[in-house]
Amino acid sequence: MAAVIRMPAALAGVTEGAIQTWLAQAGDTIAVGAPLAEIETEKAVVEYQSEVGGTVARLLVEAGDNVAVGTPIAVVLAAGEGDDAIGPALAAAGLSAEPEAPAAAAPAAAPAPVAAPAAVQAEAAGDRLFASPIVRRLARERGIDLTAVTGSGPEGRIVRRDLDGAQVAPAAAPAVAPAPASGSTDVPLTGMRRAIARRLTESKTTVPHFYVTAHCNVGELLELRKRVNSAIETKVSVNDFVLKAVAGALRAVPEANAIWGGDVIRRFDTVDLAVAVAVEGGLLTPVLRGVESLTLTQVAAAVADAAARARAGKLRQEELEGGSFSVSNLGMYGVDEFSAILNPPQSGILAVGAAKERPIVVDGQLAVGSVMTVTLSADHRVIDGAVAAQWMAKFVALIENPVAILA
Amino acid sequence: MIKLGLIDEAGVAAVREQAQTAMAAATAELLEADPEQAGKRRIRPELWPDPGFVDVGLRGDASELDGLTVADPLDHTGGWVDTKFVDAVAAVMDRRMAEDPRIVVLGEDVHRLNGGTNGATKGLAKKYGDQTSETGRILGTPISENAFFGLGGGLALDGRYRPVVEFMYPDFMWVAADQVFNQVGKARHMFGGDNPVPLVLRTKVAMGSGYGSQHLMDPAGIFATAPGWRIVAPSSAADYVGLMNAALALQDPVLVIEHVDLYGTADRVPEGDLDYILPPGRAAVRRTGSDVTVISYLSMVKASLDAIEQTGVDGELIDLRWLDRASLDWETIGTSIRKTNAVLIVEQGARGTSYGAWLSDAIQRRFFDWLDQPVQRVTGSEASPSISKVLERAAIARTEEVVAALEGERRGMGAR
Repeated sequence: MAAVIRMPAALAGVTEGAIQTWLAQAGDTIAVGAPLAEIETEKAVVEYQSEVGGTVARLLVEAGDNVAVGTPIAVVLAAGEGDDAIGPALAAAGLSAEPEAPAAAAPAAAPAPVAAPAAVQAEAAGDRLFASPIVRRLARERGIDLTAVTGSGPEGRIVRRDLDGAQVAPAAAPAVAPAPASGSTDVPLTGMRRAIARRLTESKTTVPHFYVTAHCNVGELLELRKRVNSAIETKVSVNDFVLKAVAGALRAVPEANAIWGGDVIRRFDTVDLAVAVAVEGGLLTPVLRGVESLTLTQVAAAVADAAARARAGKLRQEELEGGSFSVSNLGMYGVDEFSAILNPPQSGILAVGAAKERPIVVDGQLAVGSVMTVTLSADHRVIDGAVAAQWMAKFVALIENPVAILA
Repeated sequence: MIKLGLIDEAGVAAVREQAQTAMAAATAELLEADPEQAGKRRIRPELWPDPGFVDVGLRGDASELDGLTVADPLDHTGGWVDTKFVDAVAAVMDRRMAEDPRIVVLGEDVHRLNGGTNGATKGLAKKYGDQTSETGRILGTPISENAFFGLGGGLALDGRYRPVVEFMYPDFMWVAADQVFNQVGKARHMFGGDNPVPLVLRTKVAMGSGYGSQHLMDPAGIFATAPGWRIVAPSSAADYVGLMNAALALQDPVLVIEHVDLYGTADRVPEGDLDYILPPGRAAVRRTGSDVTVISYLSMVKASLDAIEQTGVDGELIDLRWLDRASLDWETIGTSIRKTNAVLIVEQGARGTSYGAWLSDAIQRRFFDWLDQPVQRVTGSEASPSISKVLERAAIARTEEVVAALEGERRGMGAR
């Protein structure tokens, strides 16, 4: 029997995915476990290995198309089968999906009390989103995400009025102005871009951020780094020192090594740090585990590996999950200082600027020193101002006395 | 005929030969030897019509209205004359009969009872004579709809007369169905579209009059299934004048629907003018609004207006005036639907013969992407209205039913 391959849930919790590249073409013979496609989700590109062997008969989805998990994407013929087996297999796939639909629709068909049009979650009746035709048209024109709209029409249908509300809501996607005839280009969104837009909008609008800034004298640190790099083969960066100092500060102030859990605050036993890595078309935040127990060179190696694989699109989903804290370093671009948006559900992110020569005061005298400005963005639900200040003091102490980092 | 001495054997033979010669000449024009089957003949291929001709000639193109004075009472700025609706019916017919000697009126009792059962032909028999006179033009007929409507159809095809036939109640169209739908409704199309059928059929919706199941239908829905027919359904006396003038000028059969509830209403017509026409494709917006497009005709226009005022739902009320597919004012309907995104079609009669069924189908097809809720309809019940006063009321729609439907529209709009 020919097999219909469906879009897998490549990562936990994803509802859709796009074929980034087909690794097999129609006519190719594949074995179980052979790479079939690269699938791009919001967070990563995942290689999908075939769970059946045979001959790829037909690819049903074009590279670049975004489809829901469970959508048939390819047909693979068993040995000895011809193309005439494709139709029945697709029909069978269609038929097998059918019995679920009436069952799912049954609750919606029950007569609802006509006089009580209570707001019902639009998705209550299953995956089908009930929206009137004009709503679908307007959503298309204005770039509104209907899954975020609650329907107030009959049976929870999203009606025109609900959309009028969605427009004035602050979290709503801004209307996309019609493209003028010349002078601009509309770039289609990638899954990553959508994820960045959604998650960071959610973070900045729902998480109470506050900011704590410190100027660090990094003269000793730069000196130490030079000596380390001349002594050993692995090259360590200022950022590797920063990561170790962040880990040390989190160990010293465990209240800060925590995240908001809705009805609890979750504290962590180890320090897992996310490192922002700029990649083509966006950024990824691979998480380094147990940074407190890694040596400086181990941190350097782990960061280099994660960054390389992030740029190559080879990170696994679990490498992108967890952590209580991120470090975002724009020092290499010469930025003096900036503040970052929290990466949910983490409760802290340290924005690191460039180390530059600036006037400093030493023993009451003006002098020239190397100064690096860092800004902590903290989730006030988890971290109060005093805790943030203690954390920053510990961080500065470590950075300005870097031998302690090596200890 | 030979026995009667009207013809002899030789005469019969001569007629036969004449007929056979004519047939041979005709087939010689149309047939040729079939090159694929020796000894057989076939119709010459170039004589077959193009398939695109299929709907040509269903009705005329209304160009006969060119040059007539178009005036919409909505835009009338001059004076008005008060009149009962039914008096305007008789007055405009009188005006046209005075101007156009081809017009003859046929129907039961149209010549007596001082203008038929409702006074719609009041004064006409006295002025233009009845069937007892050789030159009479108001012709009272026996109770025989198929016969006298067929007579009207023949007169229309002949072309020397312009028949105006009255059915006392619309349901009697079933009695005359062969002549109404099978002959008059199809005649132009059957013969290539070139023979006009200028005929007016008047009838009155009588729901509420208590005449019972066989007298109380609204014929609009059934006539709308017959593409040869045009349909008007005036809601006011001034519209009636313009629509009847257009009906009498058109070269197509036109059904003019009246309503007993409207006959007695105090109404008005433009002063000193019974000659303007309201051409096809002219709906009237009776009330502007933003919540729902309410589409109606005839007496239910007033019921809809009352219901809109009672509910406070901001309905935009469209009075169709012309109801047949070819004459519908899609521009006015479309503009309104794009604004309101909701449609309620209001009519009075039984659900089965409802006019709104085809209209809602056409609307969802044309405007699907503009709708915010399903197209809704107000109709009567399944049953024909019974003779019982209580059951008659229960079987038909009036203002209360429109109120209930507007409340449904309100729920369909969701919450503010």
